[in-house]
Amino acid sequence: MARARGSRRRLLVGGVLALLVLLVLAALASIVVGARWIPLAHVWSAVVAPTGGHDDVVVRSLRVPRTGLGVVVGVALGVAGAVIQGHTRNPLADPGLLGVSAGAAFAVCLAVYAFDIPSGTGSVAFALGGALVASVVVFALGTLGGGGGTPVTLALAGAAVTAFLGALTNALVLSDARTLDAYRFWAVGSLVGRPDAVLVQILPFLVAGLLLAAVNAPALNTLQLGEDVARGLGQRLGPARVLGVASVTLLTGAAVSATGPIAFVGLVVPHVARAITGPDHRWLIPYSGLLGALLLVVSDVAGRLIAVPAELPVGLVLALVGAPVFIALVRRRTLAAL
Amino acid sequence: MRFRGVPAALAALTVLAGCGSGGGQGGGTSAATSSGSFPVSIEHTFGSTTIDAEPARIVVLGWSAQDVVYALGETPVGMPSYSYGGGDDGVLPWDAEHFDRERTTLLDTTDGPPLEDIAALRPDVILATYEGFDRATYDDLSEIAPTVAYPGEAWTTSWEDQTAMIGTALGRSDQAQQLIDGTKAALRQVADAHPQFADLTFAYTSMGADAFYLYLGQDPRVRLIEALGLTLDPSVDALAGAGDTSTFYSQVSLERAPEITADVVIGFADGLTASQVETQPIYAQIPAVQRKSAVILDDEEFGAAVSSVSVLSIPFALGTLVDRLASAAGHAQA
Repeated sequence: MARARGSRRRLLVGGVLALLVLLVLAALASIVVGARWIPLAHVWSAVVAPTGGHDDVVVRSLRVPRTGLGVVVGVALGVAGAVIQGHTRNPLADPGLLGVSAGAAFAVCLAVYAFDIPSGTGSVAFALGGALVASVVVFALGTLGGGGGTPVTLALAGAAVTAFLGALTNALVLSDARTLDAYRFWAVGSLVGRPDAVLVQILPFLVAGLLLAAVNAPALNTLQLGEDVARGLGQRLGPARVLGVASVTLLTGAAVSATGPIAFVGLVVPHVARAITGPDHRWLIPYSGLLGALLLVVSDVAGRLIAVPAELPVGLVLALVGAPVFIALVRRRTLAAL
Repeated sequence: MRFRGVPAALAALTVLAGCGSGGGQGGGTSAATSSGSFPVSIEHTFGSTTIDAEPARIVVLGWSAQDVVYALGETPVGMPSYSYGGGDDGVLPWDAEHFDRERTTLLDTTDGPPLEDIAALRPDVILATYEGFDRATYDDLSEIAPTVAYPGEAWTTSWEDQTAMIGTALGRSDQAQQLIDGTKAALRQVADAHPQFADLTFAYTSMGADAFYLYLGQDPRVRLIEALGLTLDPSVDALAGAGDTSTFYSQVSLERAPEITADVVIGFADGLTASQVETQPIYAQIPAVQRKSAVILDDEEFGAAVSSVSVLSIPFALGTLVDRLASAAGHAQA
C-alpha cells in the first residue's frame, strides 16, 4: 500500500517535469515560429546580439512578450479554473463565474468613457479594480443568507452581477464610439500588442493568487466530501471560501486585465488535469496551471500559423479548439464527479 | 510653390457644391432640374425601382447619401446619425453647414434601419445606395416608400455610382454628372499640381496595437489616393495575396508590417494615437515610417471623410490629406 502510494507520487512528480519540458519547448516554438519566417540563426542572434533590424524587432518586441504573457496568463486561468470548480463542485464552472470578467470589461469601458484613459497600462489597473469590486459584490450577495454562502448562491449572484454589468457595458459601448473602440480591442482576447509594462503590473496579483490557491488546496480536498462531512472533519467553511474566492479573483482579474477574456482554458484544463491526477487538489492545481500555460502558448502559436500572413487571436483559436475538446471530454466519460 | 494647386481645386469644389444648393432652393425652376422627367427607373441589387414623381420627402440610409442630396440642393427629412466622425451631435462635419435640425430627423441605425421612425417621416423615396441590408429589410422598406438599394455587393458602392443613382432618383442626372466631373477635375488638379505623386507608390493601412490591415485596390480610400496620381505599391498585393479573400482589405500579422516597401505609407491609427503608432517598435521598422514618408492619421473626422467618400467628403479630406501627402512625398524622394 505504502509502496503503491510512493510510486504514484513518483509518477505525478515525473508528470510535472514532463509538462515543464513540454512548456519550455512550446515557449521556444513561440519564439521561433510566426507569420514571418525567420531562420533559427537569426532568431538566436536576435536574442543574444540584436542589431535592431526587422527580425530582431519581431523576436524581441512581439514574440518574446507574447510568449511570457501566454505562460503567465495560462497558469493563472488554469489554476483559477481548478479552484472555482473545486469550490462550487460544479464541473461547468469557469473563472468568469464570479463576475470577474464582466467587472473587468465594464471597468475598461468606464476608463475610456468617464476618465478618457485609453487602453494600455492605465486601463489594466482599472480592469483589475473592476474585477476585484465585482467579485466582492458577488461574494457579498452570495453570502447574504448567512452560513458563508453555498456554491449555488455564489453562482447565482455571479450570474446576476455578470448580466447587470454586461448591460451597463453595452450601454457605454453603444453610446460612445471611442469606448466601443477600446472595448473591441480589449474583448478579442489576444496576447499581442499589450505594453510590456502590463506583465510587470499583473505579476504581484498573480503570485498572490497562486499562493492563496496553494494554501487553499487541502481545504478543497475536504470540501469535495460535501459540506456536512467537511464540517464534521473540522473544516471551517467560511475562511476556506474567502480564501478560494480571493485566489480566483486575483488570478482571473489579473489575467483578463492583461489579455481580455480568454475562454475555455479555465473550463477545460482542470478536467484534463483531473483525468491525470485524480481529485487531490495538491496535484490538481499545479497540473492545471502547467496545462493552462501549455494550452495557451500552443494555441497562440497555432493562431499565427493557420492564417499566414494574417493571425487569429488566441481567444478565437481557443474557442474553436476548446468547444470540441470539451464535448469530447464530456462524451468520453462522466465528468469526474465533484 | 508645391501646394499651389490645392486652394484652387478646393475653391472649384466649393463653387460646385454651392451652385447645387442654389439650384435646389428654387423648387424645380432652375436648369438643374431640366433633366428630370419622371417616372424614372433605377436598377439595384434587389431589382428595379420606379419613382413616379419628383420626391419631396427624402429619407437617406447607409453612408454618404445625404452628402449627394445636399450637394444637389435638397434636404432629406431623415438621415442616419453618425457615431463615428459625427461628434456629439451625430452630424458629419462636411454636412454640418447644410444640416437643419428643424427639417431633418436623425435616425438611429445602430440595429439596422428603424422602420417605424422611417415610416413616421412619410417619405416619398428612400435612398440607400451605399448600404448592406438584406432583401427582407429591402422589402420592409419598399412597403414604406419606393426604395433605391445599393448596386452589386453590400457596402461597395463607388462615390461616382452613388452620386449618379441619387441624381437619377431626384431627377437631376445632369447636375449629378456635373458634381462627378467637378470632383474628378478637382482631384486631377491636385495630381497636376503635384507631379511628384505620379512617381510614387503608396500603401493604405490601418495600424492597431494588435492588428494590421492593408486596404486593397477596390477600396474607396485606395481609389481616392490613386486619383491623386500615386500608384498602389506591389508589396501590398504580394503581402495580402494569400490572406483574406475580401477584395477591400486584408489582415496581416504585425510581424510582417515592415514588408510594406511603398514609397509613402498612409496609416490610420486604430485605437492608438499617431505618436503611439510611430513609436511602436514594429511599425517603426516600416521603411516609410523610418524615412518620415508615412502619413499617420488619428483624426476621427478625417477617418470618416476618407472612409465614406462622397462629393462633399472628398473636399473635406483633401484639405488635410494633400499637404501631408506632399510633405511625405518630399521625404520619400529625399
